Amino acid sequence: MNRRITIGVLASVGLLLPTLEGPAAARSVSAAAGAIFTTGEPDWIQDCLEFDYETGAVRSSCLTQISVPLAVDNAGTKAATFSGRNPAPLPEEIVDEARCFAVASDRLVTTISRSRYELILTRVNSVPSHTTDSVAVPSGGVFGVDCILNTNTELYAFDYPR
Amino acid sequence: MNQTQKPMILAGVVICAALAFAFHRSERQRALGDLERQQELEQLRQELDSIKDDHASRAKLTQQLVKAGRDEGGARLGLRDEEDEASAEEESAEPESSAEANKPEMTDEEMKTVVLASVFSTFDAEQNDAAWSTGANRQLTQAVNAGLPKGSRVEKVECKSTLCKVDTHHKDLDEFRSFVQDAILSRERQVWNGGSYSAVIEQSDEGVVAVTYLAKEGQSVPYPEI
Repeated sequence: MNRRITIGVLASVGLLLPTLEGPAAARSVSAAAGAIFTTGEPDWIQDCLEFDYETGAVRSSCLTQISVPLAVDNAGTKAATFSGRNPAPLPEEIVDEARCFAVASDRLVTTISRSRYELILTRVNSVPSHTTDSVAVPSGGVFGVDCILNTNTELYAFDYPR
Repeated sequence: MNQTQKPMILAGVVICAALAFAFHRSERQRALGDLERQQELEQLRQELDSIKDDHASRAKLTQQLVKAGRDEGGARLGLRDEEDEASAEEESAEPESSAEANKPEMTDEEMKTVVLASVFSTFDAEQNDAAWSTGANRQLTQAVNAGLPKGSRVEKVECKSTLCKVDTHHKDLDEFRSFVQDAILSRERQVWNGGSYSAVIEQSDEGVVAVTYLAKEGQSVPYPEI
């Protein structure tokens, strides 16, 4: 009897799985794929970023900005979800936060779409996440996220639709 | 009946006839007045309907633009005729998953047209909120002028209730990109934290005509679902 039920449950899950995939499928890119803005920035800013290639996280020991390109398959209005945390407690006067906005343009950069900055207050023992507003991503265009990281902030991954 | 009664009876008949005529005439005038009022009312109804239709047609146009952008064979953007409508209804009857799978990619130009039509429609329908728009206009004009490259000029800045529209002219594409980077995207010069959409409208030997929509603080540009 139990065996029949187990087989029944497995068969149901097997039937459900393909429907759970499909158009809702999303991608995830680690924050470590991000490049820092170096234009006009002093060298010490580059030195204050650490990339952890095992977890895909980026850790900042200063106030800095990173840009993460996100590859897409289709044109459409898209948003990205980002998550981060504080690796260690900070003095109270330092605000624990990261803020990001989504940006998109076509190949020739004749349209540029950007969302407002979305803020997450990072914490030591939790990994909060936030989703940017949507931007218009043309086919074969550029989609990405720009983030400002405060001192001692760790950013993990960016999740977004294909 | 004697001779003296005859004229009196005649006069009575004439008076009755005159009264009947006057009554009939006043009734006719009243009926005409009612008819005129009805016609006026009907005219007002039609005007009201056309105003409603105007808003509805804008929304419909946007939907059609979105659909047109997805049309198989890359049919150019435009209004569909009845045949197209019928085929669109048939298409919508298909299972959603197969429609999704067969959905052709929208070209950059089509997407730009769809987004611009939709955002403009929203901006155009907005009422002017003077409490916000006056200050926003001033602030935005200062910011865009500060980030304007030498060969560029601001044609118009107009803020309404949640959106501002900035019309600009640039010497070439590089200047347009430089303007967007410095005046709209730059963290230092960002006038407030709102979403934005900038697009080149026209390119010719005389330069580049562009438009930028900027959403109010804390808000985003209302893109259509694509």
